Amino acid sequence: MKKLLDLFSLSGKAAFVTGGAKGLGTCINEGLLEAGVSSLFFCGRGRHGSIEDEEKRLKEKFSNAQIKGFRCDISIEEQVKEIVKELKNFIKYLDILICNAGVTWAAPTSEQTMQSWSKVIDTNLTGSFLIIRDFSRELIKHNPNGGKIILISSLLALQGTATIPQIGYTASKAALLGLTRQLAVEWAPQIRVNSIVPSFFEGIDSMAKMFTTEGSPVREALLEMIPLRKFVNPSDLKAAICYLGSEASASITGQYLVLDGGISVK
Amino acid sequence: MNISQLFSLSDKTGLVTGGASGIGYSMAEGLLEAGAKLIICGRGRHGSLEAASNKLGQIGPEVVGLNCDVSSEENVKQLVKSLNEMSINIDILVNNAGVSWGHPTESLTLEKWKMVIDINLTGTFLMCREVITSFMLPRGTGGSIINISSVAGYKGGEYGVAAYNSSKAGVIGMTKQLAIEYASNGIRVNAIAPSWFPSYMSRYFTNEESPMRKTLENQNPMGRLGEPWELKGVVVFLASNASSYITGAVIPVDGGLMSQ
Repeated sequence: MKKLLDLFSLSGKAAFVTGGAKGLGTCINEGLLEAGVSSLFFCGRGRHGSIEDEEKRLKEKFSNAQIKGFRCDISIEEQVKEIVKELKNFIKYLDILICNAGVTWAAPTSEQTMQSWSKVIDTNLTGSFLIIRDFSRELIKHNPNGGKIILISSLLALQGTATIPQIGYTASKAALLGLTRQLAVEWAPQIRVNSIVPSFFEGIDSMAKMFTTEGSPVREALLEMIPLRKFVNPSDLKAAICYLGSEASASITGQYLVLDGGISVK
Repeated sequence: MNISQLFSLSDKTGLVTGGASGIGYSMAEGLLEAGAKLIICGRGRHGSLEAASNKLGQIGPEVVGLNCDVSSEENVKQLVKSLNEMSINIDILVNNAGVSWGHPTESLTLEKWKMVIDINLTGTFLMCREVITSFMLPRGTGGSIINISSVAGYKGGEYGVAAYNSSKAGVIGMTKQLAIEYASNGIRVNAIAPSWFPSYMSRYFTNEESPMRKTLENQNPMGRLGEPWELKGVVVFLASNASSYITGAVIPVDGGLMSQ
């Protein structure tokens, strides 16, 4: 039997992170590399040179690992297929796939347009489907060690909000939980599929930043609302990724792990 | 209020998408029997809409059938326009229109994925948005929206139904969001999560001759599939004042499947 801490090791593993050029993605990249991932790939839409910047940043920090960023709009089928093809030049199998790429559009539902709705659904939901479908078939399914897929959902998938309504985001993130459960059953035992349901982040360049940074007028009110009186920080996210991506969670599939300081049980 | 008043839908008008057949038809019947005026809409293939409206018209006097593909924004806007032209207000919206596509996920085409997402998820969004903004908000008298999700929104299955399950889970999230967003406007938004009911959509599994039917029956604590009339009570409950303090709820109608 492995020692407890060895169960969490991702040593020698290959991982891919969507939306890995900024925000949560960069934090996930780091977490995977810190846990021992030896081949780390990520993709992003790559505006303003963010892919190159992130690749350079990671290479400086983790010089022993193979690191490569790709430009890809995951909502476009051809681009996803292209990434799979390119990736096969680097690895035979993928161990961990993190579907993190996401966009949102906040407005009252009555003012959401078909354009704002579709943009969010196409990237967050259909994009995740396309990546998962093609990566699983080409890179994960035959992995002799099995594979792990982690989808980044949101607390908004579980509870509504009157203050920052974003119906497309909510619908897409809730749908990802359904996708998680379906794939967990359909692809067991070869592939484990789980989700992470985070709430407000601090110290990560996410949408929540405007609420949680020091000096924000709502920061204190938000903290009051959270039983643990803290926002989710980068190491919380890294730890969750490491847990669900490693053998430490070997009997867990189809679940979501809620990182919310207790908001949803209050 | 006495109990029969609580459940009464007289003076209310309900709109059921996909109301020409299957569980939509049963729920439409339920609303009518509780006293509501009724609109059903559907894609109206093979004259089904007209036949259903005529049949339902025998229960209550006022049944209107309108063509609408809920995944088309243009169609949905046209539907609302037609209702306005007929001076019909919508108090109750039942988002029942839905499709499924069974195929292993690893080779499910983008086209089929989108077909299911567009009707089940985007269609529900479009109908909610248009009915809320055209009828329920401006009148200020609120309303009740009932989204048809599924136990598939909560559980995975061995058959490939990734798009369906994703869409139905998405509907649950959307139900909670709309419930909170419009609670102060008197608009209640709830969902029903049925398990297997015999219908055109589920025919490959639920037909008497289907080899799968026995398995589905055996998996269910009650040892049987649901019967379409068994959704009438819950839809009338959620549509009426009997549930006036209930919003954001998802009610399984599943013979106990979700609890085992």
